[in-house]
Amino acid sequence: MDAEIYPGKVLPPVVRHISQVKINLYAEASGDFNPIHIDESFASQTPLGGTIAHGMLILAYVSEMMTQVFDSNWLSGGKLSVRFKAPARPGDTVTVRGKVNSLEEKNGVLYATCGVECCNEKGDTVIVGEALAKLISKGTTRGSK
Amino acid sequence: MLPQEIVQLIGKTGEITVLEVEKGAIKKFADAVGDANPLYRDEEYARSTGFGGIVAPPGFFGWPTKWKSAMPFFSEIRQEVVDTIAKAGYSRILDGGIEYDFYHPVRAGDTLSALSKVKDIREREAKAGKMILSVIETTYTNQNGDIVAKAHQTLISR
Repeated sequence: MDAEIYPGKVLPPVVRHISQVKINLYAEASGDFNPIHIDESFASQTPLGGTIAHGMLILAYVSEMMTQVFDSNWLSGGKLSVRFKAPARPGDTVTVRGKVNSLEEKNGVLYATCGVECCNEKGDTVIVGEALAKLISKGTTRGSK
Repeated sequence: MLPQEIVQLIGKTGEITVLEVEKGAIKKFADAVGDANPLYRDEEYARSTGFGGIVAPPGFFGWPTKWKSAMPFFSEIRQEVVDTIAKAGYSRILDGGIEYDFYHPVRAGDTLSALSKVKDIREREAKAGKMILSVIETTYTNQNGDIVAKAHQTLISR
């Protein structure tokens, strides 16, 4: 079961190593074969200087962190608002972190507002934003396994 | 004042795109993003949860090829906005952020339809000069008519 949610609570981070293999897998699963993600010789000729991970791949890591903590209240009722600040590249290790900033009641429903950020190993921000999750019927949808 | 050809885009919608959500594709997506949650792949486990069956991870809205024109990042209407604004002299595109609202879980077996719309286009004066902000809204609806998610992408043209 989830520990209690309170302002200041640090969410368990999600750490991922980005590789070209993983980017290619995401391209296949998503159908997004933009050469900036998968064609190294093409990408090296662009101002980016090499392939970059799909922004939505990194966003999936943010969502994974939120699901681990908020479960069904994230999958239905969650709200994510982010900006892409820098690309993630093959060889990077990215860490998604989050913290509960505040708890607010809206129309009788309690919401947790979390600051979320994804950084690479150099400390550059890849994604930054805010995630909002409901705090009702906590834990009731957990499986029995 | 925004040129008329840009103003005319406000409220314009793209075509509806339909996607059948298959169990195998959900697993493939979850594998690709490295998310080990059994909710996305283990039918028995998923049935024991409040969801009653396999659901798709929220990140799944950035999804397959035939779905492409329904994704805020790739929609044709987005391209039309980008191209029209570029013709008016603002050809540099910057990310202005994306927002997702998840209202209902997406289940294996669902048929989703998505519709993108130009929600707003406005001018803004910044230190660096004039820029144009465009907001593309994509609404995802399931076969029961429930809106399962909405995405808002903001583009900055300079």
